[in-house]
Amino acid sequence: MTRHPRIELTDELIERMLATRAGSRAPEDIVEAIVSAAATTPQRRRHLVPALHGIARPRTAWLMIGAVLALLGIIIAATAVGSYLLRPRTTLIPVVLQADWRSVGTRVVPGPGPGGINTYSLGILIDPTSIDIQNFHTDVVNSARLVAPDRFEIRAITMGDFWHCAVGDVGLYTFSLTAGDRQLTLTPVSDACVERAIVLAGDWSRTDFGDLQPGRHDADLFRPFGGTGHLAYAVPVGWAGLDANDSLYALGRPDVSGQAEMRLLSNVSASAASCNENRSADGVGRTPAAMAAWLKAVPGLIVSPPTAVTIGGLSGVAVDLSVVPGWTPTCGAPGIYTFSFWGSDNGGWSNRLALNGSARARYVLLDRGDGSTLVIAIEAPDLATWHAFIAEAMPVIQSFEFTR
Amino acid sequence: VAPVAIAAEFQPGSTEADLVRRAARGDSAAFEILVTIRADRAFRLARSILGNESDARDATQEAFVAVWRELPRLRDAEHFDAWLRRILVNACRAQIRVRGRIREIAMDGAPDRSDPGPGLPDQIGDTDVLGRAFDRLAPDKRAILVLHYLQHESVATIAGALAIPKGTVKWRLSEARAALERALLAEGEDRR
Repeated sequence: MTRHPRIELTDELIERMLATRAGSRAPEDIVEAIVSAAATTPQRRRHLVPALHGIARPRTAWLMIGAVLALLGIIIAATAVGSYLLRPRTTLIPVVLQADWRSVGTRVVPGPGPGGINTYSLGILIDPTSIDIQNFHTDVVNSARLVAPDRFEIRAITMGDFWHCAVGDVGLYTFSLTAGDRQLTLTPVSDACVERAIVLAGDWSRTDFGDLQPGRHDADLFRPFGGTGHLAYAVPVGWAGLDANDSLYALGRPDVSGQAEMRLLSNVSASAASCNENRSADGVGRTPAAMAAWLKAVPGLIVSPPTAVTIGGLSGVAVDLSVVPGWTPTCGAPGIYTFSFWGSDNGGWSNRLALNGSARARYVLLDRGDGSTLVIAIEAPDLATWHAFIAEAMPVIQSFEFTR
Repeated sequence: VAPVAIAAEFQPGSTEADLVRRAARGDSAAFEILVTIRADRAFRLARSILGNESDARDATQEAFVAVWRELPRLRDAEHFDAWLRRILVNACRAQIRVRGRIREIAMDGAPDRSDPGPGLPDQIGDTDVLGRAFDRLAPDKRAILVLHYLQHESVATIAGALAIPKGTVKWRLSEARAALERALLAEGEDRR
């Protein structure tokens, strides 16, 4: 992901920002205000019977119980009839649509680019009651409800900075699923927000974000050979998809190994030793051998001797990495930068792999056959997590099948 | 509420679950103690999601009053905190949605501190810029980042607070962080 030109987004910075926002104490009078408000708010009780405890005369009590029960019977019958006649159809978005989707191809989005537009690959997150358009600048969140078996209505709750639409704008869309429910096509019927209609219209591919069923999977979005090719893999119980696009695919065990994950990266180079700028190191080749040799020379890194590997028909080498104990990285919290990676088209977004003091990693460097390297980076924040995760990760990696 | 009052009511041997049960039976003194014990943490959660004191105060108050109203229906007193957290996060969502445009929240009444000035350390400027980027995020993304990075809650607790499956917490967190990174870049572009 491209970063703010000056600010490196780190866990520590996020924590500091949130701690600053949170302040230290609640206003002094807030407890009094809450208790006062509660004093005028009746509690909702589950049972009616305790209300009758104070009645002393049994006959009167039984008469009252009878009257209450009769009244209850009437209310229940009326409610049942009313509910039946006025029953709302389900308005929840169908489960089959509830997923994280990525646009097939790019979308033209209002933004700060030339002519006030930018072209990006976008994501939408569909929940039972909302559709979140993960816009480049600001998410456009829409409430959503099903209005017919093949169509939903959306209403803007938040709006993107560069969009010319208003909160409350309503749109009506039909949807259809193909390719075993892995491809979604949205067609605008009407939409008060023109930009939203332009973005949503067309095909969307289902991501594997979230829990994965044990068994074989296809990485629909990932292209292991520079914009082309396909990856299939198998996972046991407990694995989840963490991220996916055309040049990155991430898997992990969220409940077991915390922050540990593995990332497949198809457009990778040795990273220049710059804290603020993500660019390739000069004069370093992109073959597995060249990149492994370069890693060995990075100050502060401990790199194991390369081990020959073959994964999914691709040959290469694997190296384990850690940081020299007590080493102070020049760039602070992110640690020592190793590899830079980009989208398949070298534009739009970029990011870097890095190791900090306690982290462990294994890089599997596979020969793409075109002079460049497909990297599988298995990363864990500490040694204990590393041991737990690597044992789980290697069998998954051994299941990888690459096709060109 | 004075500390003396708390000491008088929160007797040794009684647990917080006892207080919850008492409050559920309509004991306003017990409820007051529960609020007193949790007010700071709840307010900080709301303030970090919403970004300003006024909205955080409204959301916190709304959440606690809802808790009081619904307490008799809480089946398990031991789950009080998870339940409160969920109600509070929902109250924050509601605050943001009432406001309509997320962007306006950070700007409301806040001085422009985009330039930290020559006398301030760089980090202060960074948190300001990041704070404005954070204000661009959707409510659920803000909530999951706060629960993880500020309150260091477990996967199970975050799942409970946001009413999402445990297995999806990690990737939602990853999504939220990626969205924050995009918003941070947008802040940089807006300032050019």
